[in-house]
Amino acid sequence: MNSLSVFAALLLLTFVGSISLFKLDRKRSPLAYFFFSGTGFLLLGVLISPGGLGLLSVDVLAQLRPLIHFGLGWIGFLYGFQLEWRYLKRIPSGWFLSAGALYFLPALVLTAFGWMLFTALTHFLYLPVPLAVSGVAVLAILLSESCTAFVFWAMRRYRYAGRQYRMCCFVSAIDNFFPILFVTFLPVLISVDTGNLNALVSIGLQLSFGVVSGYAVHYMVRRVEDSLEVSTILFGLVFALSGAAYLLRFSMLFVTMTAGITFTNLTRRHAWFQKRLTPVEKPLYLLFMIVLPVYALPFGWAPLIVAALLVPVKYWTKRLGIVLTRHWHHAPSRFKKRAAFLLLPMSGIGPAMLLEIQERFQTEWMAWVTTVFVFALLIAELAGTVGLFRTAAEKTK
Amino acid sequence: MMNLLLLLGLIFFGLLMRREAPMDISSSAAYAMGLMMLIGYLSGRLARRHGLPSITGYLLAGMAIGPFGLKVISLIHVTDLHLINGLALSLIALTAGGEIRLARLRPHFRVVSWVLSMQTLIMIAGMTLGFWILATWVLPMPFVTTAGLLSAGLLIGIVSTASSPSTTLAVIVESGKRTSTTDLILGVVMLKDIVILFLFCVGLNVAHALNPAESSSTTSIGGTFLQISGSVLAGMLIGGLIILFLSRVRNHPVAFILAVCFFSYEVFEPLGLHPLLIMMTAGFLVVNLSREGDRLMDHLEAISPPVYVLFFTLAGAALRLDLLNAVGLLAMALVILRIFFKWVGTWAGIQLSGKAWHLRHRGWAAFVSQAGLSLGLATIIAEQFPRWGKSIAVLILAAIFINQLIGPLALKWLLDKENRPTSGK
Repeated sequence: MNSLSVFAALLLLTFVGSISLFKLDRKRSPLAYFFFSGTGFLLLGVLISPGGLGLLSVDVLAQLRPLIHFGLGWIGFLYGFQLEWRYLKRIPSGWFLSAGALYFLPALVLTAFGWMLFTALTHFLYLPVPLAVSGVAVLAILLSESCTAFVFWAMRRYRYAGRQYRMCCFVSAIDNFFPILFVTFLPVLISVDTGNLNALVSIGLQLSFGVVSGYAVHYMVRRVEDSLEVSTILFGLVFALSGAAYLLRFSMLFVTMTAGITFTNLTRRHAWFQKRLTPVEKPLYLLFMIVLPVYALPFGWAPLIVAALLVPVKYWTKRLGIVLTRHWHHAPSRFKKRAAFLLLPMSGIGPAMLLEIQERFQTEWMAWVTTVFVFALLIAELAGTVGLFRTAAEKTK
Repeated sequence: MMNLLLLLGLIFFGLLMRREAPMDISSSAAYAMGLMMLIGYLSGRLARRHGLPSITGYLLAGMAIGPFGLKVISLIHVTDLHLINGLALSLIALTAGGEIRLARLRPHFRVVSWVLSMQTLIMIAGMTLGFWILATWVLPMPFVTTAGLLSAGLLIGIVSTASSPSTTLAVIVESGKRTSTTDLILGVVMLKDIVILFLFCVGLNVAHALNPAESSSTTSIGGTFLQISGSVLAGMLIGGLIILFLSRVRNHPVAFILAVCFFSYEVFEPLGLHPLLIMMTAGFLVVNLSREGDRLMDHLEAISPPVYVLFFTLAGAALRLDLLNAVGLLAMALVILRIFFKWVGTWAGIQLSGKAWHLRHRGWAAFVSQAGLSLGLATIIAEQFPRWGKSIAVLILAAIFINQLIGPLALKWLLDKENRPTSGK
């Protein structure tokens, strides 16, 4: 039996196993989020990765590459599709400022702290300084984002309502935008084999490519009523777009996101498409959770310690951001510390972005970054859930 | 007009990418898949607009952009996409199995069994004899002995009996009507695959006995029986799993179905079992033995259009146009013979069953298409008879190519005739 067969068998077992897990979710267990978010799938990925049982290798992943590219394209397209101007202009400007602050403050602090940490540990980590800098930047940008699914789950689980939770939803949704931009600007930052000007031209081309594709998809589906035909066009477009972006060394997430933004602002059937696009999203996230640990290094204490130090920094800077922005115009006035826990996990688009970077720039420091990210992801999921559970328990007392 | 322009634009984009992409174009299978889906979809739409079945559009599009046409899609892409091909085939087989509803098939049991038996008998006898005559006197194949010719004729006869369940199902789904005729057609086509698998192994043994010096290995009837019963057993397991999941869990049914198809192809195929039979059994089981049948079919219907477009465009891209030059004439003769014996077999079956008289003269049209199983069997012939197997396989492939183009058109013609309201009623 080859590795791909083993992967197929495990994937099926995971689904079958989810029968009891979803029962757990219905019983409202505090641990239910692990199954809701797909952390179980991440653990499965760790188990079968080369560092674990070694059932899934990078070579096997090469066979799954079309699916991974499609997944990245679909997530980018869907994210862009949610950025509808008619909806966004109804949101108070203060919310955008708060979202920006709540993303960039942790990003800056994490970069600075990570830099100090890496400098102090360089000898211990066996990582050359220039690589450590790139690694810190990627980690800071990915760790600073939040997970919309977690906020939704917490609102449902703890029956939270009110403005600050709506704001958390908004922040967690909008702060995915910044890492996508970062992934696009990465060639400018690291200038691997092109000059900065070439990289800027490339960004312009990516933008045009996305806009033209968005217009093309609008034209193709504008008179099609049959949802099955629409799904054929959209699947085809996302496959072609992400594949072409990969071939042209463009960012798959950015190109498809641009296409999504263009399409959503042209179509008049936003809700109709939203209903048909969303169901595909969750399985793709689950796939990414399994695939991500394959790129990680075998278990080591150093990445675990770095991750364990970075996650609290994220929590405190998010909390600081909340304190600083709560008096801003239109921002919620009574932001509680629970909100910092809500914004702690990053299991949404983070793994997708890391995979995109892996696909485009297979550099040696990425394995290290992936390892730290996987540990940070697990710690943040655990800390976020336990933190929420404790604050909810305090509230009950 | 705009569809045509879009189609040409996409083909142009594909040609441009082939020239300009800095990386090797074959390194992105996702790109190939997307382009095939879009070009296939637009071609299908154009075909439908001109009264042809969409599947003909998909196949033609695949041929046009494939490695034997404009080369927008490379041969590496076609090989690389075997994973998607397997997934699609499993999905189609699951749908096909689900289409066989015992309650609907029961009234046609007599006619299905007669048509199946007569078609099989007449096809095998007629094609063996026909090929022997053709290859001995009309278009001689000097490098094959008489025993070789008889063996090849027998194997060609068995392979020619098969029809394509996926193509048949795709055209029926597109016609949008389920009548007693479509139930009958699907029943014959699905059951025929199982019969052919058995007969092919018998035929291989006979051919090995006739050509002891030319054969490279043997396939035992016991082994085949084990393969088929193992596949049915695996199908029952998969069916049970689907029932369990659909009845207990409401989340991610589509992802689950895709995972099951992926699993079945990747795990059971290397074990020598038949994924097609496994998934057909599973679909049959879910629909006929549980309450989840309708849910399964709804989900399958939601996934099927993109899968059909991709699968058939890919099938079109894999059709070897270059073979037509080499064996075109003999292949054409075989296709004509095959259609003739299909007509005789169907006519005899209906005559003996005494039912479905309206299909007596035109029922053959439902069984012309030929794809998946026949392609696999042709590969086995090439492997097991190194001296003449390859040329026979090439001949079968060329005939499949023609049959696959004619088949959907013939079936659509039949369904249109059936669905046309009778004047004066």
